[in-house]
Amino acid sequence: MNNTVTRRDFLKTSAKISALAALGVGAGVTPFVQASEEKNSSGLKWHKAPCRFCGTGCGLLVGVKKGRVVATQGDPEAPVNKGLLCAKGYHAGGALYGKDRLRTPLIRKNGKLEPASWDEAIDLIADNIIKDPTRFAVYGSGQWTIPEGYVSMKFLKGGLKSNQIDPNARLCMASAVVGFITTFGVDEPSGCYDDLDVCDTVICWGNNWAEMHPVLFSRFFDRKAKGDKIKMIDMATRRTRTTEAADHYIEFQPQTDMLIANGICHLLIKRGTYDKKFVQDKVRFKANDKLDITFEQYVAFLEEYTPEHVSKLSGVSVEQLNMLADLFSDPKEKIVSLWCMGMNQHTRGTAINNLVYNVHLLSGKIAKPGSTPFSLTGQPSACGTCREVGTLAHALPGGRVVKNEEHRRETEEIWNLPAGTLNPKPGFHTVAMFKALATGDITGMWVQVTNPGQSMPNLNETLKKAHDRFFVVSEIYPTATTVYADVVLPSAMWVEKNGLFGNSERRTHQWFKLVEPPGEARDDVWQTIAVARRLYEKGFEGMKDKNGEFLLKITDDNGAEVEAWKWEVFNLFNVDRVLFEEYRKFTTKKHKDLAPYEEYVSHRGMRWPVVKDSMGVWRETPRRYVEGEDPYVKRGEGISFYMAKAGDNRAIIWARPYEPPPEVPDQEYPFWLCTGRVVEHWHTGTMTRRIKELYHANPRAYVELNPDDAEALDVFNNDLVKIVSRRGSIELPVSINGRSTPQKGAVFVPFFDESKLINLVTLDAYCPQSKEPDYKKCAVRLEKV
Amino acid sequence: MTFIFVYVLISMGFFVQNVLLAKEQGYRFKNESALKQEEKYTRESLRAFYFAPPVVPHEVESRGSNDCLRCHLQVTKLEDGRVAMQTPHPQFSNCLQCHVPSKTPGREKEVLTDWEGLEEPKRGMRGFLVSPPTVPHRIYLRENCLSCHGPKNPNMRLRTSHPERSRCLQCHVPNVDQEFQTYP
Repeated sequence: MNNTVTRRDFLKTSAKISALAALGVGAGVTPFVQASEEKNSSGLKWHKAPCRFCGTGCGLLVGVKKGRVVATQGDPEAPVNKGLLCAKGYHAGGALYGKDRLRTPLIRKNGKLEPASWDEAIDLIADNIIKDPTRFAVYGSGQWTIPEGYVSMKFLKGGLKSNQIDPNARLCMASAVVGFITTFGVDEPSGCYDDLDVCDTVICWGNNWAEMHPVLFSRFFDRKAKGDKIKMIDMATRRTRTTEAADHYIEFQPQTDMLIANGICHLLIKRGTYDKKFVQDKVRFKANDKLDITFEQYVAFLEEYTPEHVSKLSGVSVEQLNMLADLFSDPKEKIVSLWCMGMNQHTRGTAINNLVYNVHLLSGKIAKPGSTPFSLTGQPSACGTCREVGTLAHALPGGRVVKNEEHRRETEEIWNLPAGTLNPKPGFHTVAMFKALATGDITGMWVQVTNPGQSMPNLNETLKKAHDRFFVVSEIYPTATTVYADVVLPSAMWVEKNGLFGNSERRTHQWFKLVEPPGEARDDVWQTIAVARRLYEKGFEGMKDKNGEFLLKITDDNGAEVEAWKWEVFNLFNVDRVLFEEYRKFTTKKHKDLAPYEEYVSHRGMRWPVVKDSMGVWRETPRRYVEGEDPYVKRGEGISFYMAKAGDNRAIIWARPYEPPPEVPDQEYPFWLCTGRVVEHWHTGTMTRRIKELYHANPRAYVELNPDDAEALDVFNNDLVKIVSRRGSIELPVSINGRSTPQKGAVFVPFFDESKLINLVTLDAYCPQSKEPDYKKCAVRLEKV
Repeated sequence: MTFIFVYVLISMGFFVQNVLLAKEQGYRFKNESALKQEEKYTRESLRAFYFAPPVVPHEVESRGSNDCLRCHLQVTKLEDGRVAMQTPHPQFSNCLQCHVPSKTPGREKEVLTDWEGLEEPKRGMRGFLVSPPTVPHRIYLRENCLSCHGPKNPNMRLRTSHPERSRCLQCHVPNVDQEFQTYP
């Protein structure tokens, strides 16, 4: 296939082809015309696209009729979900059609956001960037498509020569990333969803997947109805829908997951039931201070984690600890450990990720069918964009880092920049970036595809204090973030543009634009290119490459430049494909090889590394590090952790001690506060709260209380209580024995409701390694209103 | 000429048979269109689009799915006259994953949306006048035809006139509208 436009009806295309010709776009642009709208009686057509919401990456069939999305259903051929969806996926189309969709650019004049032209908005942004380019930040998202993240990163790191770019994935996946890198030398899981089809046991580490990843939950749990002997163990701090389906419920005190993991390892070694051969051949040991230690030293480290000690602090019984140790001791038992925000949003997030790998490495339950530790993700392309492209303050594309000179050289070469121009100093990570915005170390910010005005922890200390900063927001609806904006850019979303997402199991999905965005809304990729071009036209040196040409130059198959900064041209040319092919050059270094764009067009996603075999076929990799599945494992090696930093193909078992949380309940603030999601709403609810069925299902935030605590406070369902922390307070209606019940002394509040911002209350303490804040634990007090 | 005559005769025979069968099952012929309209309205009000998973028209207190199946495993008549429909896919165990409650307290605002879901087709597509209608929806998740088209469905519009013939897909074939758009 040539450079193609997306599907559109024939008449529109022919009109635009003449427009295109008038603009002088060179040869090689062959619009892909489909004139078959009348093919069937109803005019309805189904197209593939990955779901817009969580990181599961379900395949959808999107029904389009008369230029509008009218239905969505599960794609029976999609290997992830096999035809099933959750309520969000079935109603995804509604997210496009909220009445208050942003349709024109807005600029703040005399304190009010007023409609403006694209030209005016872009000019204003460019002028503000020129004033102070290295203190202008981009705050992005795990909902960026791969080309969106890539082009923003190139714009900022290549163009503005600073590293002030970080995504909201910092609040979501950073601990998992650093956990993977410290243990295996490279990011992202070895296992895949197929393991859920063959495992015997799933252990949820603080993970309510019946609500948060329901399609995967059903993929596993429905095996029971078909007669498979499977078990589910729910380790959590509150009873949820997952608990209801689980065979065992293990309730622990917040933060003591670290003790439980070390406690299991203690028992495996005490009993001598760890996988001795695996440990001897595939593993080495390190202390918390990064120094190598011996197996004996590791055993000595585990000495204190006796079942009695762990039980006393965690509240988990000795029998339950023994049951977990029994499972990991049984060499025939196939175990998948699952986690998501419970372990990642943790002030010791990196450590607890390492500790769960320890359990699987000691017991040899890794890189085998049905046995794997698996980290789930919350955003559709947290993996594909933030982690693989590397849109982080310290990173360069394809697993490279700004500190490494060789990595900078390689990047400069692909971007055609003069040697030595990339900035080696990492930028601010998310929490620090918003603090810098408040203090003035960052003077301008462009927020893309995310809603920090609702999702940042401890909101009183971030945007509320950032007056007089130049604040640009690309959005689809008015949000808790656009209220701070000086410029609001209306964006195209999901199937209103071309895109690629990468899901939790390393699967890269592609989709085509199916419908036109409303009003003057335009792609985020175009917005970035247009601002870059304006800077170039204003003579900004950074936007020129080595030869003085435009840094974000887009060329067609014949090498002719395409004027992609002109919307009429951009809209008819598949810029995504060009950017993806450029990005693909970066991916082989860390063996995360991607296939050409066309392969993704014809597949329902492919899991990297995707490598061409001797027959010339591009083959995906279901399980990494496994001989026969992963092309980078040499014959005869069996399992090889080939990305190990030391070059010895061994994974690292870390001796990470238990450390208490920074804030614990006391006399004044006697309750634990945990925040999270619900099945109907996705993150800050910008999209799902505009879908009638989903809004009606769960219209507002509430606080879940344990019945004993409610009795002590003398409150009933729907009574208002005030939740107060050292940082802020909000009032919420009480929910007792609703969809979940927290343990005694703990409360839970969902964060989807923009009229009840629980993040005014939360703590912004973060993991020292991953810099990911802890939304799951802080101390609050409840006052009856 | 003879051929056409025979054809018409056979068609009429089928028609009469269907009418008799329907009558036997108590299908009310009086005021039929008003009834159909009402049923269609109820059906549509529970769905974002034709064949979207219906929302739950009552409050949900349960966390597990066995509670749902207590009423929805079979068509169940409740004391207050309401009828709980039968699920066509009891093998899926996480009901609340797709079917969300709709009567939750705390709604403070109207959802303002331009969403227009796919409408119900007026009539299933047919090869010729009296050939069996094709299936105007996907079969997946709806493999048990009688859970919706069976004689106990209070929604008479959807009832089959011949529930005793168990192999539905022998005559009623899936509609081509369900085809997926492939790319080169």
